[in-house]
Amino acid sequence: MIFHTGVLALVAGSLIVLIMTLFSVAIALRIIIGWDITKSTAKQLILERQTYLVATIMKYVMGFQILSLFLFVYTADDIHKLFVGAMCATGSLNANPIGWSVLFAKIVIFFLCTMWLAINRVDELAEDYPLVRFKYKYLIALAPVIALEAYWQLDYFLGLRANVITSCCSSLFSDEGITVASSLASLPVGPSMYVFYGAGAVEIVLLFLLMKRPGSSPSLRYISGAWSLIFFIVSVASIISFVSIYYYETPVHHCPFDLLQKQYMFIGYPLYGSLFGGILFSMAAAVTEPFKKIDSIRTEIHNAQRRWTKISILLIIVFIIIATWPIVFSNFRAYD
Amino acid sequence: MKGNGRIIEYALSTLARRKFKNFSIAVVFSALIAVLSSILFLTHAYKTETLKLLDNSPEIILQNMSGGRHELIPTEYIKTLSGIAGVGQITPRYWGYYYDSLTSANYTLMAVDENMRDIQLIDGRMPQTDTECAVGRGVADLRQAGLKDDFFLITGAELSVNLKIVGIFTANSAILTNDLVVMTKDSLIKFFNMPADKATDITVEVNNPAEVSMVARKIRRAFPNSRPILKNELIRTYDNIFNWRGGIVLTMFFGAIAAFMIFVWDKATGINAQERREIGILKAIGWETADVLTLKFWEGAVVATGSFLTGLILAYVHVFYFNAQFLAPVLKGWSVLFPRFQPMPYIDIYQIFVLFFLTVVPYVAASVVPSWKAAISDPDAVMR
Amino acid sequence: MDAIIRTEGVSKVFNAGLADEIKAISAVSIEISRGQITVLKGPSGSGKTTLLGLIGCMSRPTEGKIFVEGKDVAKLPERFLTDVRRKTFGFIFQHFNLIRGLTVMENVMLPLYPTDIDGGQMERRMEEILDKLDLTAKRAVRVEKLSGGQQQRVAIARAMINEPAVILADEPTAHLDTKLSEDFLNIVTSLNTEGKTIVIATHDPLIYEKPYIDNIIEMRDGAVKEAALL
Repeated sequence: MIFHTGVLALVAGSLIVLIMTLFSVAIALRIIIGWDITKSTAKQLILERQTYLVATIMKYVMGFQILSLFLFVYTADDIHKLFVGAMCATGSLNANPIGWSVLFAKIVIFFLCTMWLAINRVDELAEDYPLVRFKYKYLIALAPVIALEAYWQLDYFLGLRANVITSCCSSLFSDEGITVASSLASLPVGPSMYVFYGAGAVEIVLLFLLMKRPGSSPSLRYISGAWSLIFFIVSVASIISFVSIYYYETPVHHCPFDLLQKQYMFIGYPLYGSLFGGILFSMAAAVTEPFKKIDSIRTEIHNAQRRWTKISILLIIVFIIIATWPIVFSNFRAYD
Repeated sequence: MKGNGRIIEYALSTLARRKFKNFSIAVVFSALIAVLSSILFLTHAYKTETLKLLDNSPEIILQNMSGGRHELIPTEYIKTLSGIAGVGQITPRYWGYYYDSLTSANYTLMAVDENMRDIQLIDGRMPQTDTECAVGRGVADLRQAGLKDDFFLITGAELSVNLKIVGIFTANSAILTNDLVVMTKDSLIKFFNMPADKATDITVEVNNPAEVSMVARKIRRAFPNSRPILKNELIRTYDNIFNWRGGIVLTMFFGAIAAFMIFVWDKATGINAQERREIGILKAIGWETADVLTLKFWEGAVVATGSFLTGLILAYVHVFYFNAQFLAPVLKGWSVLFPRFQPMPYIDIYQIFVLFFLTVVPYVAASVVPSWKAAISDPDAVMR
Repeated sequence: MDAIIRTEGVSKVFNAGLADEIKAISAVSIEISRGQITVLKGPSGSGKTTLLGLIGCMSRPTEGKIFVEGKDVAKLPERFLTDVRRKTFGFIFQHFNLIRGLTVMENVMLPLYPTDIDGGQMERRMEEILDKLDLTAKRAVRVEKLSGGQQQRVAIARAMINEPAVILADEPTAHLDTKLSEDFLNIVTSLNTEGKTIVIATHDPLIYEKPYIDNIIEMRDGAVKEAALL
């Protein structure tokens, strides 16, 4: 266990999130069982009012989750000094590989929360709340994921052992065997660029088609949603493979986390912010597509999708510009 | 300005109208944040200061072990050591601890060596003859001695030595030099009654940093009883110790955070009649539950942000202008001679982020349900 | 006659199933005609305030249907009910229900704060209404410093800020002397001539005996005793 203020903050934070989620789950169960929009009984009114509470809690859970994602990365960065061979957050995560699962889970939960909020939003636009049962079942399904993430995180920190001098002997020889690779295996720069710009072009074309022809078939919407996911993965790989080295201006430094540091002008925030945002809105538009079957919210979803698609295109273009900026304008050349 | 902006404005005016109600929360919240941030700031300052000092320390410190304990090291090792490839300067060091019953404090006695002559942090000069010494600020203060004063050390072997203080280390280096007494090698050896062919430990510089562990392994092979300590290990260990101390103190504050959450919950639940009436009116004239929740969110956000900044500023002043007088004893350790050191002011985003997570997140979590309870009041309540 | 509001067999039970269950009104069917002044008359406890709240979308009936501009709002979730209320109704409460510590202007504009209406437009509306109600001089005064009559005019101004089609008043003259009550009625009639539908719940003869009242719905023990078109 690494006893560190950041670690304590993260563990306490995930405990709070977990409690809030379980609280919501209890309400969700009551709503699933007792909900009847056709009745105007006192019980129904209470349930209706509890939906506000759950929605508020979920917004906070999402907010805390994104904060905790950053805090986790920062903390991993702050404690890297404790491990032999670790140069940055990557090294700390390698020191107990479940750290990667935690990072991954935090991102997934963030996406799942925002999808929930998207569904919640369109549901609240319809007078008969047609998605009420669905969204609360979704919420109940989300709870174990949040619990698992909290557990993994605890497991990660408990499993970390600082390579320090103990009273009996120097740590040098016991740890010499474990040389932790400090940089992520990275893809070759040239091909990665083709893949990245190719995937980006497809993403933008898909979104553009959906924006121009909002009545397009649902399958195009699903394809776009799935492609957004692919583009997200390609983008993260590309940041590691070549965007990072152009920003760092060294051919060997691939750390995706250092971009968030002051010495790189905090460029990571707009970079990841626009990427996450762009993917998120595009996926929200895809996730709400099946509910267009329901009459009472068809128009509302339609309008929301148009808005979301527009925002998505904008953010993804911003993301690609930020990613491309140093490649065009810096003097650094990764290869000739 | 549209809907949300006006709700923020209204939240501000509500807070202004109910200054005193929110005052108690703000005071308690600020105090909590001030204490927590003091801990974090101070720990971090110590850590940075210590690590900065370690930066100048040699790559390898070689100790001799006997029966699992640190022993004096034969100086003849130096010959073998200089034969190892990659080894730079090798310096034997002479030092030891001395318990001064007069002032009930532990001093570190150290022989002056070449590297030390570079240290600029001194009033006066380094000792040159066997009857001279230089002392740290803390030692000088404890003994109420100044430059040119006499300095006695009492020992078993020889009844006492009488030295003249020719230098005092300045406060800037206090974390390193506070409990230090520097004398010549000969007078130290005599004082501690050390054998002439032994030193306390040996420092080894390594020309290429990448070869440090390789050199250390060769040393270990040459002298199986020795313990080479690497600078990087020292850094890691200190880092961990300071993390650990900060963590321990923080853990003790979890109770305080929990108590604060209950306090917030209680305050937020017990809204007074006037506030209840106001929310009732808002509902009646067309505010929706979500609008009232937004209002409550902004009220909370303003209180939290205000308290957070107040607490941070208080802690900053406490730690960097008043030397963390309330906390220093807890964090510095157990030495009677607390280094009187002035932490360098700094602002670290990570620390602020951690503090935010430790304080604002629990605050928000504790106020969700009470805010909601206030927001769902019946719109027609004002008509009854 | 075109009914802007219509109720069908509306009942409202408070604390249903509990020991202190109250049947406030039961099986009330009425119509409120567009552009007319309607009085809900009856002693206290007759259910007129409850009915006023129901037709004003303050809460949902336990049973029955309520049509506002032809749309049944009886089963609408609160979120949408509030929306209908914001767009259709302006309320004048018995106790004025102004927020102390806020100025006349702030109180009047308060209903529009959560809406997306443009700030400039909101202020223009407010100026216009304050001018009409002779409150311009008091615009920056805190409401608790005003006299009873002035406070009521602020309450009326607040009810008008969202440009409602219907103004609902609950016992508006209960705390006013005769002179101020007459002033109130003058304001109401002038609003009526501008085309607003007015519904007043009252047991004050000063109001329901006025010749220009179009309809009187008399209530007793939670039911309609008599509905008269005058």
